[in-house]
Amino acid sequence: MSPEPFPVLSAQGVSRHFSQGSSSVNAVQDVSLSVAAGEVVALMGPSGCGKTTLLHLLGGLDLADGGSVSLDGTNWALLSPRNRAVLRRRRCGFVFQSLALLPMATALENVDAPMLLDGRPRGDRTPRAAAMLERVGLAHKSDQFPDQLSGGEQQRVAIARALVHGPAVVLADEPTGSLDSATAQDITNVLVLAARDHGAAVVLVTHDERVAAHADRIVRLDSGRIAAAESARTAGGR
Amino acid sequence: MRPMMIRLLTRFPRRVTVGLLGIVLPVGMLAAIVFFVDSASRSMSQQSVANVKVDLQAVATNPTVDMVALTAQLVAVPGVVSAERFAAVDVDVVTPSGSTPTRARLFAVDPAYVAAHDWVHVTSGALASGALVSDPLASGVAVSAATLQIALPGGEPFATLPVGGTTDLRDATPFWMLPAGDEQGEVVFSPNAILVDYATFERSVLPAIRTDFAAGGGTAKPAVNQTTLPPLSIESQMVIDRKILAADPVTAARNATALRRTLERVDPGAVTVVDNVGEALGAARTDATNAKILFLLIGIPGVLVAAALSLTASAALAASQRREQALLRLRGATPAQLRRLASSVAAVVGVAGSAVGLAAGHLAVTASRSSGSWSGTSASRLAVSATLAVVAGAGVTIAGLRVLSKTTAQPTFVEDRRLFERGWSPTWMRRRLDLIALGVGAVILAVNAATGGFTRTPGGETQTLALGFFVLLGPIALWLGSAMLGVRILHRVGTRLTRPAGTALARTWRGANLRFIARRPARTGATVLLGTLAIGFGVSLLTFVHTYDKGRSRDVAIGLGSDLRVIPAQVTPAPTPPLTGADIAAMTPMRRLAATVGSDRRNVYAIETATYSATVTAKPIMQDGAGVESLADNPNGVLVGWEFARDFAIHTGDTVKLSYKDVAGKPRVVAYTATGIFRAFAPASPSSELVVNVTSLPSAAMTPDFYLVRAAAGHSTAEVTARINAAAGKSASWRVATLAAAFQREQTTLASLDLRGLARIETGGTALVTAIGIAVLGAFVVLERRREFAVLRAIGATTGQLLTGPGIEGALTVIASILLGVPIGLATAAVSTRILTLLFSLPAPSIAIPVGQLAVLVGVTLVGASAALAGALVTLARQRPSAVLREA
Repeated sequence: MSPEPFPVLSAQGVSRHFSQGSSSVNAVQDVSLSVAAGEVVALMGPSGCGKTTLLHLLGGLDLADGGSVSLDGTNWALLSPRNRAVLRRRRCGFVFQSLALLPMATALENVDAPMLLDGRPRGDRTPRAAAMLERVGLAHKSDQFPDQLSGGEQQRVAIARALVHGPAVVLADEPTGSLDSATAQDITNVLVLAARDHGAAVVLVTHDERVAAHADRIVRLDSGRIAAAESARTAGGR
Repeated sequence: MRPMMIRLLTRFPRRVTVGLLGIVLPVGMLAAIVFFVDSASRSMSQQSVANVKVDLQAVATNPTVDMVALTAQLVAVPGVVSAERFAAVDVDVVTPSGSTPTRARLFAVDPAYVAAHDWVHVTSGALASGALVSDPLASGVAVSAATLQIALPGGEPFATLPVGGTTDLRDATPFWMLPAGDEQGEVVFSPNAILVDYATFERSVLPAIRTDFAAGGGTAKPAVNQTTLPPLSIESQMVIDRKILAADPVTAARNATALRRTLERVDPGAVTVVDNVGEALGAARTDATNAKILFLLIGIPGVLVAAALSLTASAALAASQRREQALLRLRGATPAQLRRLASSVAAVVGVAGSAVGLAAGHLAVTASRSSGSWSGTSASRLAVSATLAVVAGAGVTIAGLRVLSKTTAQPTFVEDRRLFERGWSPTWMRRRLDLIALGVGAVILAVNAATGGFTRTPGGETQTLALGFFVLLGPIALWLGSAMLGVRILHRVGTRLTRPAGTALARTWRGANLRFIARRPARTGATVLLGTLAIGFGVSLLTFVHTYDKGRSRDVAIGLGSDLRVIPAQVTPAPTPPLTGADIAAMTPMRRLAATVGSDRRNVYAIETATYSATVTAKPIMQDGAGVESLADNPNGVLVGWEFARDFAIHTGDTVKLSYKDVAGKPRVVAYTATGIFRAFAPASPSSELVVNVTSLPSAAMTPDFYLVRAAAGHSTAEVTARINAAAGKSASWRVATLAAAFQREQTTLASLDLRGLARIETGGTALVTAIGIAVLGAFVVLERRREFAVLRAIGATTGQLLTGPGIEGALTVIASILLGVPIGLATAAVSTRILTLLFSLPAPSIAIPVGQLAVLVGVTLVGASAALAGALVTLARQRPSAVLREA
């Protein structure tokens, strides 16, 4: 039996509720989840089951009401807002469903954004951003603006941006939700392969079983709780 | 529907506040302007009659009229405050030597008249002691020490009057003399005058006149509509209760006419009533119309900018309401229901905004004008003004609703696409409205220049001013066009510098944000345009008003000549005022004498060149040639007034021959060389068309008519005046006129418009428009780019980095608005000053820049804009990215 790999991302008994007038909605309840380096985990479940909320908690975009979430062993809740931002830009990459690019920045500038925010020198950033665009097959469109790119191309740029700074984990929220099925497969391939190339873990929120099939593990949520956790192979065999 | 409307109004207070401000600002600014016009019109009636000392004159049509009874009847007429008897008649003063009699003008008033009116100066003695004779007459040979003999009409025996002292009647000219000749303002003035008690006149002179009249003698009866001074005038001079005059000069003139007719009916045929008040109000009527045009054109640009801002705010509101609208549609609301809901909310906001705007306008005018500024303004006039402002508010509300319905009717993808849209191509840019506006402005100015609109016509000081409405549109067109052109150029430069092909990756996050702003300039560009227009308007208004005030001060200063004017009594030997001392920096004697040029009689100033330049506070404004220094270099040089030079075709270097009369009355011709043509020469009141060096006069020993005095630094004019007056004691050997008194006297209707109050209101409006413009920009940024900021948070932007872009955008907007607005405002003020040259008695001055006031304007704008920007940034920083990202 091989030793359990060190989890790059860990959630222990995490809960998050939102107030809606006088009532309270438990979006995430007592969820525990670990993601190892290089592992691809798909979060699935019906709409409103808490997938996106859990993804935001894992990426430190939101803080849990109960339990803890750690990235590289650092608890998000114990960091100042500024340090949370710094940890996020250095160790996380995000891919969203749509409108995720900066509209007034070119493809190359969008990919460059996390490194620019991190204050890296231009001489270091330029080749890395160009290489990343090439890795997702868009080197020829580096000067194009988002509105000049197709939906699939925009997501490729988003993937390049999520990976360009060498993050420990890529958090993708329905990255193929607005794409046709062929493009969705293509984009998922690009994301998973590029993440693996960089040794990054991937947490992927999706409704699409075919997209989830690319994952090492599928975690199913229902009403804010983990309903089931299974390997993709098992899930695919069902 | 109502609960939903109340919920919308109460659950989104910030949104409602922005909507409310969008109405309050234009309504408030328009209300302030029209209320200001109402208030100014009211004071204009009063201002126009302020210098009228004798409101009405009931002139007897024949000498048999019983003025005692008539005056008692006149003063009983409602509206008449006082009626005083007055008579003037030409008499021959018989000299003791029995030689040719001297012609003199005999005036008769009651002693109370002398005490009540400051234009009668008793220089020695008292009216109760006997006749007061003018200084020139007293100094002549006609008067013995104790009595005076005058020849009566009709060959009656001489009347012998006891002499009670001397008098100086030079200031009484406007009230005691009648206009004569072709030139308006020219009067017949007799230096030989006798002032007697009216009772003495009735007893010793009037019977002879009546006898002569009964016999059909030569003492002419009519006293009005003559071009020469009538030999006889018997009248009752009246002062009316000014409160009977309506605030509006047009109605006030009718009030005065009605009173005149009532007075003429008191004793039909016995008197003709001269209406001096009605005359003044008649001139004010045109001035009032011009003032309204001027006020509106000065103020309307501010209202336009405020209305434009309101529509921009409506667009922001529309964007923010999309979500609720979509939700309501999902819940089954029909488009008609949504329209009704939006209309109801807009109506509530419109009504509330209009009410607050009216109140704000009222408060602004009350604060900017002296207390009691509303008294006398009719309720109906105020109601009309308020209705105008409310109609404007309704217009803005309806336009805002159109923006709202247009925006909400668009499918969601249109908004999504707009978020991605780069570049900016508004209608005005596509249709080149900036160049069209500049062209229109240039054409208006060219037409105005071609028709002589930039130059005063002869006699400009007294003509009724005529401001063409279209001419005043010129500066507005230039202001609009240059602001749009400035923004277009900025946009073009920004676009060129940030083309992706021509740029490498940005070195810093700040640099990247600058690049992003230039690539998405729509909101920034619109806000810069609004800010530029607002600041340009504020700067233009402040500068124009400052220039106007300076010009008016200069007009008065050049009229008086220096800080003080000391006028010695016309007695022999001439008194010598104490014009040396540590409190006096310089003084110069001024001599004004008559000379003949060809067949024309003209006034000439003879100056002492060495002391003149050191004394006058307003240097001559020269049109051609050299100034006063040329008279020092060439004692036979002459400076010629521009109108005189034009009429006589005199150019610099031409010979001008002047004929003076020497002491013996013989003409002495002196040939001068015109060394300069002047536009204005201090002192301008009384004016002279020619200025020569005193050394060129045939009789150099001529007594000065007055002295100009400049107070030394550290000594106030009041202090110097007090010392000089104290030295005169009770002898009344001289009088002192001050600049302050001259300024007060020069206040007349259009030239005395209180533009400063309007400037204060509009400056506040300018700062508010700019600040709210920035606030609306901030609202747009928060509303439209929230997802973008959430994404930035997700990829690791700190709060400081997140706010860098909006912070730079806000700062750039304000800085660009100031950098474009200030020069555009100054240029607009320069053009306005040239166009409104008729407001100035002298040629329009170049603009005077009120550095302090402009600094305050810029400072207030910066503070307001910073506060608005800070509000937007705080909202942005508090935004929770997870909530925004979940919305998509």
